[in-house]
Amino acid sequence: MAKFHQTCLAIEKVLIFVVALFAAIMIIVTSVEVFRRYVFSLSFQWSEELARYLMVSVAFYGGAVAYRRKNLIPLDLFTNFMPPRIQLYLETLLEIISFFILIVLMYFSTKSVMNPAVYRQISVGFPISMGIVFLAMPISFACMILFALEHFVELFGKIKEGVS
Amino acid sequence: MGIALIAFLVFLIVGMPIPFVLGSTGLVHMFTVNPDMLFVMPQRIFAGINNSGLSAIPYFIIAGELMGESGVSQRLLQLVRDLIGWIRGGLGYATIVIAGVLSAVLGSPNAVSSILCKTMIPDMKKDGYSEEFTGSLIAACGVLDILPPSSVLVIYSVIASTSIMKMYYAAVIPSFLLAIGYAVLVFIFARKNKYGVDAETNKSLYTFNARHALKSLWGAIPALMVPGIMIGGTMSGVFTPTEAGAISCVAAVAAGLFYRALDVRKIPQMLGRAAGTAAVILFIIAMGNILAYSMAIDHIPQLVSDTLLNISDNPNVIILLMLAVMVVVGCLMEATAGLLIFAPVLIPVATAIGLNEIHFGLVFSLMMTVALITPPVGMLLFVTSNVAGINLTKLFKSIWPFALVALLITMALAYLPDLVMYLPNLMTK
Repeated sequence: MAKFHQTCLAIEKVLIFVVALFAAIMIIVTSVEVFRRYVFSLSFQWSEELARYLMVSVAFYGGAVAYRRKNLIPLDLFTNFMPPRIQLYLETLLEIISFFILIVLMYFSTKSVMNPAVYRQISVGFPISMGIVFLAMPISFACMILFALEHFVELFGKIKEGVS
Repeated sequence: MGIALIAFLVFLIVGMPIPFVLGSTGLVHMFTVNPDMLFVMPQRIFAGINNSGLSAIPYFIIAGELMGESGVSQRLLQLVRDLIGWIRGGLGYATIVIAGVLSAVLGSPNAVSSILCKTMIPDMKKDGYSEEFTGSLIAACGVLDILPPSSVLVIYSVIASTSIMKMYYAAVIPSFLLAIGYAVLVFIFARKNKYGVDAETNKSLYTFNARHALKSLWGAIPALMVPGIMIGGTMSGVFTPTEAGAISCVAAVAAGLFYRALDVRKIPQMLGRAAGTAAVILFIIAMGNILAYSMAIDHIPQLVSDTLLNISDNPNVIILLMLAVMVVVGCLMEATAGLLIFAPVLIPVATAIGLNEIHFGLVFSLMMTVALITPPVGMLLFVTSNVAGINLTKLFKSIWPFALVALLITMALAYLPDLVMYLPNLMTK
């Protein structure tokens, strides 16, 4: 179990690294573009597109990290008033529901990456297959499925502790 | 639709994270309406978030982090304090002005409130301001985040495909009204409770020190250039409002290096943290698109707009109804999610009764921002309570005057299109 936890932590670290790197590239590419347009009156479409695709990836990878760290803002107005035991059961139930939802999301997003209409479509300015851009979705959903399992194991441990 | 509505309420109440509430309700809804739609769902998620305008959100959150680290925020703060802190109740007014200045360079109300908590609370406590009053004032000042570059304005303009520049201009006058409203409250409370006053002489604790003020002005010049470049560059059209975000990150780093305050080795860590915060908003938008799409297939926006328009044919009554919907939404939902789901539903109603999209958008965005300080679900109250260590229940009680003023101003603005549209009409043709 410790190994599984270690793996999840390692994945989270990679994801954060990617998020920080992508954000840095976004900032640099966009600023250079402004400078080039203003000073040399040159404009390229690819920089805007690249920044946009990186932002999409930041959203999904960063979302996965936030999911693992439980930073995705729930409405805790009602649950706060429940006894801790019920809260624990509810949280476990929610983790199971999330797990299945994530599987649905991953299934359909993988399908769409493999859809010829997507992967054969080449982006206009920045010439890469849209399939690569779309990959951020199944990858992040896969990571979230792992994290959901990790949460579940953790919660299950807590419940067991509570029972005995 | 019934099943989806029940699913939505259940998921929300049992405390599912917001993006999952939106995503799973959308999935359930699609499944009941037309399961084939699930195959195009990923494309819809992608299309909803694949919008350059949204990049402004990570840019400005990162810029805020960088400005805090590089001493820009602190210097702006010191300057404002030296300029107006000496007035009776001065630290209260200074808090409002600082919040306005910071909101105009940062893209996140949480950032503004936490900076204010860390910097203003200790001194205000020393001057006799009560803890609840200070906390409420700071949380309430977070609403000034509606000043450009505001994330909610960006999100609305993306949903409604309106000009972000016009939205930015529309937000200026309302923010000033809010600031004035808060200032009146500070005036009243400071008189009543003798905040910031010498108990014996009944005079302000500070006097104006011209030398000190000039010194902070001199020190703040590079810091002032950061918002200067942003505002000037955007208004003159050198760069777009979105690009301004990237430029302000660069400017913040430059100022930090100038002040020798920025540790370059810390930048990757800061990037990860700030981009991670922005990703939460972006991820909510991505998941919210599932629900927005399923509602569109099911013609829910039309249904709601027909229902609302059938209740009355008096535009003023309809506006009041919409405001009521916004208050309820704002009380229960986080701003991004509220806008994503209800903007597509309410925009047709607004256009049907002849409201301008920019005017309506501003009122809606402002309402969602004011909702950040209305109990029971007020992000800014949580942040202030957390950072400053003030009891949340105390804050819930003392925030009311501020929340009420903000709500009343917003409602009044709904009926004053000329006031909101004055700057957008003046500045853009």
